[in-house]
Amino acid sequence: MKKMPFLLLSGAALALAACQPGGVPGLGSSSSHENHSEAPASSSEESDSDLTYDADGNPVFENVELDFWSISIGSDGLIQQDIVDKFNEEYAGKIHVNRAERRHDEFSSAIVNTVINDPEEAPDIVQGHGERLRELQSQGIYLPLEEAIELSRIDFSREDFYANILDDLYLQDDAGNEHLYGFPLDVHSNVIIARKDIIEKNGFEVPTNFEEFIAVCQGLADMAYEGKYQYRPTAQTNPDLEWLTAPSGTELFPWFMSIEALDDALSYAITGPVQNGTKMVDDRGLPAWNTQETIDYFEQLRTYMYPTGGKRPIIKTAAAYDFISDFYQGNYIFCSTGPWNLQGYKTIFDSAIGLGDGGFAEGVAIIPLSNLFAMDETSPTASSIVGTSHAFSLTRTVESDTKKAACMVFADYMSRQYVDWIKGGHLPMRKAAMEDEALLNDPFYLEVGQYLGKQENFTLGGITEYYSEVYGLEMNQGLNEVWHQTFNTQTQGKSIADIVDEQYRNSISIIASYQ
Amino acid sequence: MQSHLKEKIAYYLKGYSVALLLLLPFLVSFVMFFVVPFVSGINMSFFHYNIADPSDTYFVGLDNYSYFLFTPEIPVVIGGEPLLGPDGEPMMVANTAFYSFWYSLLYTFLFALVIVPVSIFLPLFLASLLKKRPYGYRLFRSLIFIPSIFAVSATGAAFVYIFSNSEDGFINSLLGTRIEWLNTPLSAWFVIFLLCLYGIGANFIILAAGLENVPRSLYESSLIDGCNSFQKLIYVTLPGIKYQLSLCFFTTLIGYMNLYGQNRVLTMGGPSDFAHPERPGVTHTVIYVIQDYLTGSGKFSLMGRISAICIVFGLIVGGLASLRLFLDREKKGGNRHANEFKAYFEAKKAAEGR
Repeated sequence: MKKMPFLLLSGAALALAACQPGGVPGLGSSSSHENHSEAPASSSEESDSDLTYDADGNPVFENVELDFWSISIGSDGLIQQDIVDKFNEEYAGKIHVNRAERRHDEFSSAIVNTVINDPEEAPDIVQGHGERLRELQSQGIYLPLEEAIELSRIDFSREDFYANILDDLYLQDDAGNEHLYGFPLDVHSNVIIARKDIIEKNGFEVPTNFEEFIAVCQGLADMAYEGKYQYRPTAQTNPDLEWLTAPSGTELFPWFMSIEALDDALSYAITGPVQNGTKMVDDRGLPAWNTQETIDYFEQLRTYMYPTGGKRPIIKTAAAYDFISDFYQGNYIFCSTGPWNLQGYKTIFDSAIGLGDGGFAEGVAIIPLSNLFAMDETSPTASSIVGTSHAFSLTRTVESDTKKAACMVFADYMSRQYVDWIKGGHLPMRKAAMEDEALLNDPFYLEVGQYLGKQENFTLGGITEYYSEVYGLEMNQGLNEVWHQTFNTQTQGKSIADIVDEQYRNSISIIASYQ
Repeated sequence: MQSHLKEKIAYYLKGYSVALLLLLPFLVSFVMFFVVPFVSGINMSFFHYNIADPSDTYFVGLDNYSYFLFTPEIPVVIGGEPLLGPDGEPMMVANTAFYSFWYSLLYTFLFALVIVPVSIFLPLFLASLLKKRPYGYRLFRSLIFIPSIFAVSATGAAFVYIFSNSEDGFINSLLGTRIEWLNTPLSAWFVIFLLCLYGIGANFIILAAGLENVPRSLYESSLIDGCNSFQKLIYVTLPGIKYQLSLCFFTTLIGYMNLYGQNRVLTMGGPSDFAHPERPGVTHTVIYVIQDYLTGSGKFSLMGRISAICIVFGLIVGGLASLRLFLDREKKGGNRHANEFKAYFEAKKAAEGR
C-alpha cells in the first residue's frame, strides 16, 4: 500500500520523459536531428517546392515572416534596427523581418538550445560572428547557403567580396565538401584612438608603426617626468582650453590597455603576435601560437611596463574599460576602442574639447592596427589585423524554400546598406562599396570610417571549431591569459616562455577535456 | 487476479481520490519540473549525450563519473587520432574537468565554512540587540533587511566600483591605495564575503522572530537561579531558538554551497591560479564550473558529464541537508527522564528518612 504513491510518481515521470522532445537518452529517445539533417532539395524547380517565380523569373514572396537573431546589441544594434525597418517598408506585403537581439556570450547556447529543443521558436536567419561559425556548423546547426542563394536568384558572386574573409566562411561539411555557411556582411576590429593635439603640441607626429609608436610613448613619458609635458584637458575642467605643463616628476603612462576587455584582447593578444608572424591555428584547428615570435612580442610588451636601464614605463593597465575620462584629461594618449564607439566619442569630444564641430578631428587621431605591433615592418604579416566578421547564416530549422530564398534576399539587402552600417564601425565586405561615391563622400566615412583599416588586411585569425579554447577570449585562457600574465605583478617571476608554454598546454588540456 | 487488482485500484481511488484531486496541481508540477529532470539527469549521466545531435548518444556506464572524479590526466585525441608529443608518445595533459570539480568544491566548501557561521551569528547578534527595543529600532530593522531585497547583480555592480582595482575605485581613492581587490585571491574572496553579507536579512527576520518567541518566564526563572548573561544565552536563548537556528544554518549552508551570482558579478571566477594553470580560477565555485561547462565551452556534447557533476554535487549538498533531519529529530527517551526523576526523588526521600 505504501508503494502506491511511488508507483504513481514513477509512472508519471516515465510517461512525461517519453513525451519530452528528444526523450530521455536510453529511454526510447528519438532523434529530431534526423528530421532536420536531410539534404535540402537540390532544385527550386522540384514539384514539392513551395517557392514560385513570376514571369521575370523573380521569386514571389507573400507575407513571409522571418525571425532574425542578431548579436549587434549596442549602438550598432540601433543602426541595424533602422535598416531592418527600412527593409520591412520596402518589402511590405512580401517579406517581414522580426529582429531580436542576443548577447554575444549567450548566442551559441541559445541558438543550439532553441534549434534542438524548441525548433518552432528557432530563428530562420541569424547574424553571428564569422570566426565562430565553425563551432556551430560542426554541430550541424547551420545549413549551407548555396541552394538558398540559388533559390533567391540574388546576384551573388564570390569575386564581389574580399576573399581573405569570405574564404573563411566556406567550411567543410561532414562529407568533406566545402560550402558557404555565412553570407558576408562586414569585418571590424578595434582601432587606437590617440590625442593628436597633445602629441603634436609636444613635438611628435601621430605614429604609423611600432617603432614610432613606442618612441612617441617614451618621449611623452620622459617629458612628463622632466616637467616639459604639455597637455590640454577638455573644457569641463579647463574652460579656456589652456595648454598646461605637467610638474616635473609626473608619471605619465601614455599607452592604456583594458586588460579584461575582449576587444582589447583581440588587438593586443591576437593581432600583435599575428603581425609578428605567428600563426594562430594548425591544420587540425589546434593552437599553434606557442612560437618564438609570440614570446618575443610579449617579452617586448613586458619591458614597456617593467622597464630596465633607466627607461620609464609607458603602459598602464586596468581591468575595466574606463579610460575615456582620462583620455579627455590628457592622462592617456593611446587607447584601444571598438569602432562602434567612435560615433559616440565624436559627439562627446566635439563638445567636450570645447571647439564645437571640429573638436574630434582636431583633438583625436584614429589609427588602424596595421603595422602598429609589428617589430619588423617589412614582414608580410606586419599589416595584418585580426578582426571579427558579421555573417548571416540559415538555421537547419528552415525547411521552406520560400523562407530560404527570403532569408537570402534579406542578407543581400543588408550587405548593400554599407553607408548606414559603417556608422556602427563595420567595414563592408562588398568590394564595390569602396568605389561607391555615396560611401566615399559620406561625412562619417570621411571623418572616421576611412581610418578603420583596409579590408584586405583583415584576417579572422584562423578558423577552428576550438575557437574558445584557442583564443581564450571569454574564459581567460590561451593567448588572452598570456597577455594578462605578461603584465600581472604576481607573475613577474615567470618567464614569458614559461607562460606561453603553460597556457598552450592548458588550451590543449581544455580541448581534450571537452572532447 | 485481475478482479483483485481492480478492487484494489477502486479501493485506492475511493480512498484517495479527493486527496489526489487536491494534490494534482502540485503533483503535476512536481513531476514535470523535479522528477522528470531528475530522472533524465541521472539517466543522462550514464550516456555520452550531445544536445546538438541527440543521435550521437551512447551508453558509457560510469565513465562520466570517473572522468571528473578520478582522472587527473588524459590523452589528447583529435578526430579519433591521438596527438603525439615531442617524444613521439601520445600526449598526456591535465584533465581540467577533474581539477575544476575538486578545486571548485574545495573553494566552495572553505568559503561556506567562513560565511555560514557569520551569516547566522551576525544577524543573531543584531536581532538580540534590537530585541532590547533601542530608540529607532524599527528603522534599524528595516535597514538590516533592505539590502537583501536588492538583486545581486545590482549590488554587485556597485561593489565593482567600490572595490575597483584602479586608484579611481572608491575604496582605493579613499585610502590612497592601489590594492587589486578583485585580482588577488584573498581580497577577492573578502569582497565576495562582504557582498554575501547583504543577504543576512532573511536570517535576521527568522532569528528575530525566534527570539521574540522565547518565553519571558524562562528568562525570569534563570534570573532567579542566578544565571549571568552568558549563561542565559547558552541555557535559555540558544535552546529556545534551536529550530530557527537549525533552519537558518541549513538553508544558509545549502545557499552558499550553490554560490554563483556574487562571484560572477565581481570576479568572473578569477583571478587565475598562476602557479597551477590546470586549476580553475580561485573564485570558481562548483555551480560556476557547471555554468562554464554549460555556456562557456561552446561544446554541446558534454551533457552526460555535466549531469554526472550535478548528480554528485547534488548528493553532497543533499547529504549535508539531510544532516538537519538527523540533528532535528525528536529525541524520544520514553519515560527514561520520569523514571530517573522518580529514582532521584525516592533516593532523596530515603536519605531524609521519610
